[in-house]
Amino acid sequence: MRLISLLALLLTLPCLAHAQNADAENHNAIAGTVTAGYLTYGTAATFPPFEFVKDGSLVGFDIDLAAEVASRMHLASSPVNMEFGGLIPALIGHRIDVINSAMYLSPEREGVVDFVPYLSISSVVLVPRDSRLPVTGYDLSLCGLRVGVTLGGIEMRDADKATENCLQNKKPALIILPYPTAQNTALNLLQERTDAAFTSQFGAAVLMQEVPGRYRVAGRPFGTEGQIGLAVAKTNPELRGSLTKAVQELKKDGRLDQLIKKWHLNRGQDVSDVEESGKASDWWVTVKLTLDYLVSPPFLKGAGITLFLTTSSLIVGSLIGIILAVISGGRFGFFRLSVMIYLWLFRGTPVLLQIVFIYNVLPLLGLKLAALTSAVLALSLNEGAYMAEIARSGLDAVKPEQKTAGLALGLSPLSVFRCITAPQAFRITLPMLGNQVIGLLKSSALVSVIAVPELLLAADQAASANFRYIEALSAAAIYYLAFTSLFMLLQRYLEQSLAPGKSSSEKALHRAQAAMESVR
Amino acid sequence: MLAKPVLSLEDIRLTIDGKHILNGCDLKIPEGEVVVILGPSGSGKSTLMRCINLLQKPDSGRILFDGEDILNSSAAAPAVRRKIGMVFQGYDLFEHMTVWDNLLLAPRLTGGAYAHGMSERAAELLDGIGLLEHAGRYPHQLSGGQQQRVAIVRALVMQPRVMLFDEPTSALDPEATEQLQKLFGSAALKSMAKVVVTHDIGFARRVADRIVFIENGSVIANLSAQHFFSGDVPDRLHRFLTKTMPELKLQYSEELPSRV
Repeated sequence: MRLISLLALLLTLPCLAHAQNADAENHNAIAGTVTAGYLTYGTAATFPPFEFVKDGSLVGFDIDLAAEVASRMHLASSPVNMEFGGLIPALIGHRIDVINSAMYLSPEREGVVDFVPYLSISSVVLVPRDSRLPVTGYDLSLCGLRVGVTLGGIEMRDADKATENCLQNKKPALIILPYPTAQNTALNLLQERTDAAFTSQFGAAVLMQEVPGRYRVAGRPFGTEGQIGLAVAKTNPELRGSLTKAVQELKKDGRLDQLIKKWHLNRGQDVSDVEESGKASDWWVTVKLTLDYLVSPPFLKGAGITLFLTTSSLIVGSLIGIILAVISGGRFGFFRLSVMIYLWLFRGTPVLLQIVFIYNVLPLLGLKLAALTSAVLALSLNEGAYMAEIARSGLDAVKPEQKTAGLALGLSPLSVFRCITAPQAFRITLPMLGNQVIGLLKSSALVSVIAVPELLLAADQAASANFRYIEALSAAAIYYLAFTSLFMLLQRYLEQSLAPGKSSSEKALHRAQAAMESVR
Repeated sequence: MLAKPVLSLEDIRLTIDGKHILNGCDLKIPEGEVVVILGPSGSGKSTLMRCINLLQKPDSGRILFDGEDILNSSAAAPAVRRKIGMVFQGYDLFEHMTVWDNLLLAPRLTGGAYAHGMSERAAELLDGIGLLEHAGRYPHQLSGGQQQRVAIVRALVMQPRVMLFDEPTSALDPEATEQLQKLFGSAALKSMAKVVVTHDIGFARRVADRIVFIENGSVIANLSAQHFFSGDVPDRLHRFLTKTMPELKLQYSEELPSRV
C-alpha cells in the first residue's frame, strides 16, 4: 500500500518538472518562437565534430553556431537533443524553431522545410586501413562493392550517382547499405559488413582521431556542392529571414571562420595525413570505461528516467486496464464498443508509431505535450490495451460463486471486488504481469526518438562521441539486466506472499487460539 | 399453531427469458423453525431461496422481514443480507484466505456492531464445530464437510436472524450429513429460523418442522413435517408427490406399507 502511494506521488512529478516549460509556452504567440526569448533548436548529437555529447554536455561546431546566431537575434539558444529521424517531424509539429544538426540540403528535404545554408562540405570514400580491395576513390573502382551510407544523408545521392556511372560503363551497380547514423556507417565498415563508406570529410577526420589506425581515405574528397544548413518550417518565413541575416553577418565579420578553425573543420581538407597514434584498447580499459559509464551522470539520469517511465507507465497502464476490463465486462454497449476500438488501435499499431504520433502529430491537432509526458502517455496507453486483456482474463478466471458468496455476506459490490475478486485475479495474472513489466522496461528505449534522455539514448550518445560501443552498450545492458532482475525478484516475492503460505497459516492459527483463550 | 413469522413471502413472481420460474409463491418462515423446501430439479426452489436474500430480484410480490417489506423498501441489499445468512451448495469459501480470514472478512469490512467481539465469536463457533485447530488452513486443505461447517460459521459470525441452506447434503457422505444434522440442533443454530432447499428426503425428514413442496414454480403443499411424512395426505396430492419425487414412495411405504 505504501509502495503504491509512493508511486502515485512519482506520477505527479513530470507535472512539476514541466510546469516551468508550460509557463514559458504560454507566450508563444507573442514572441514567435516556440519558447519566448529562446531559439529552440533540434539536434541529433551523434555527429562529431558538429554536435556530440562530451562529458555529459552538448558540444560541437553547430552548438557554438546556434549560440552565435541566437545572440545576434537577441535570443538565447536552447537545444533539444533527439534522434536524427525525429528532427523534421519535431519541426513540423512546432516542437522546435530550427533544425541545427549539420543537415544536408536535398530536394526531398527542401520540399518540406526551408534551409538557411551555412557551410559547404565535401565527402570522402572511407575504407578499412588494411583493405585489400583496389578502391581508388569516388570512381569506377567502387562498382559492385558494398558501400555504407547514412540514411537520408547526402551520401545516398552520391551513391546513386556512382551507381549510374558504373552502369553507363557496363559495370555492376553499387550495393548500397544505408545506416541510421554516421557512427553506424563507420562501425559497420570496421566490422566488414561493408567494403567502403561515404562520409563527410569532417566526420572522417574526427573518426581517424578517435579511432586511430583503423580507417583510411581512398582518393580525393568529392562532391563539393554539398551544403549543410539550418532548417525552418515553411510556415515561418520571418524566422528564415532573420536567420539568413544572422548567418550572413557571421560570415562577413569572420566569426564563422573562427568557429571552423576552433573545431578543426579546415583540417578535413587533408584527412589522409592523419597519423596513426595510440594503441588498441585492452580488456582493462574496457572494464574501466564501462564502470565509469555506469556511474556517469548521463547514465544515472538515463537509468532513472528508464525506471520512471517503466513504473509510471505500468501504474497508469494497469489502472486503464482494470477500468477497461470492468467496463467491457459490463452491459453497456457503447462502452464495450469504445473499449474494443481502443484495444484494436493500440494493439494493432507499433508502439513507436504511437509515441511519434502523440509527440509530433497531436500538436498539429492542438494538443502539445512535453516529451516526458508524451512518452508516459504513449507507453501507458499501449500498456493499458494489453493490461485490459490480462485483467479481463484474470477476472474471468475467478469463479462467479466467490463473488456471490461475498455479496450474500452483506458486502458491497466494491468490497467484493477489492477483497475477493481482485486479489484472486491478481494472483492468477501475476506471471503475465511479470512478462508485461519486463517488456515495458525494454519498450521504454523507444522513446529516445522523441528526445527523452533515457538509458539507450544516453548509451548511443556516449558511444557516438568516441566510438566506444562495447563499453557504452555494456553499461546500458547492465542497468537493463539489473532492473529486469529487480522486477523478477519483486514478482517472486509477490507470488510467494500471495500464495497460501505457511507463515500466514501460522499467524491465523495463533490469532484464533488467542481469541479462544480470551473467551475461556 | 404457527409461531410469529420472521420472514414471509407473498405472491412472488419471476419470469426469465419468457419462462415462468416462479408463479406467485407464498411462504412463511416462523421464528425458530426449520422449513424445508422440497421439489424436483428445476422446480424453482433454489431461485425462491435466492429471492429471500435479494440475490435474485423477483418481478413482483412482497418479502416481509420482521414486518418490513425489504423488496420494495429503500433499504440497501447489503444491509438486508447481513441479517440473512446463506450457505451455498458448493460452500464457496474464499479460496485465497485462511479459514480464520474467511470468518472475519465480512464483520471486519462491515464494522460497527458486526465487528464488535468478532474474534471471540468466530473462535467460539469454530471451536464448536471442532475446527479451531484448522483456523490457519486454506479451503483446499479441508474436506467437503469441514468446508461446509466453516461456511456455516462464516455466516453465523454476522449473527443473522435467518439461515438459508442450498442443497446442503448433496456432496456429503452419511457421516458428514449426520454432523450437519447435529449442528442444526446445536446452541448456535437451534433457535434460529432456517430454510433448507434439498432433494434429500431423508435429511428433510430428520430436520424439518415444516415441508413446502414446490413444482413448476408453485407451492403445491405446505404442511407440518409430521403431517407430510405420515403419508396421510389427500389422495391427489399423494399421487402427485410420489410421481414427481419417486423417492417419497419409499418414505411413505416405510410409514404405511399397506398403501403400496
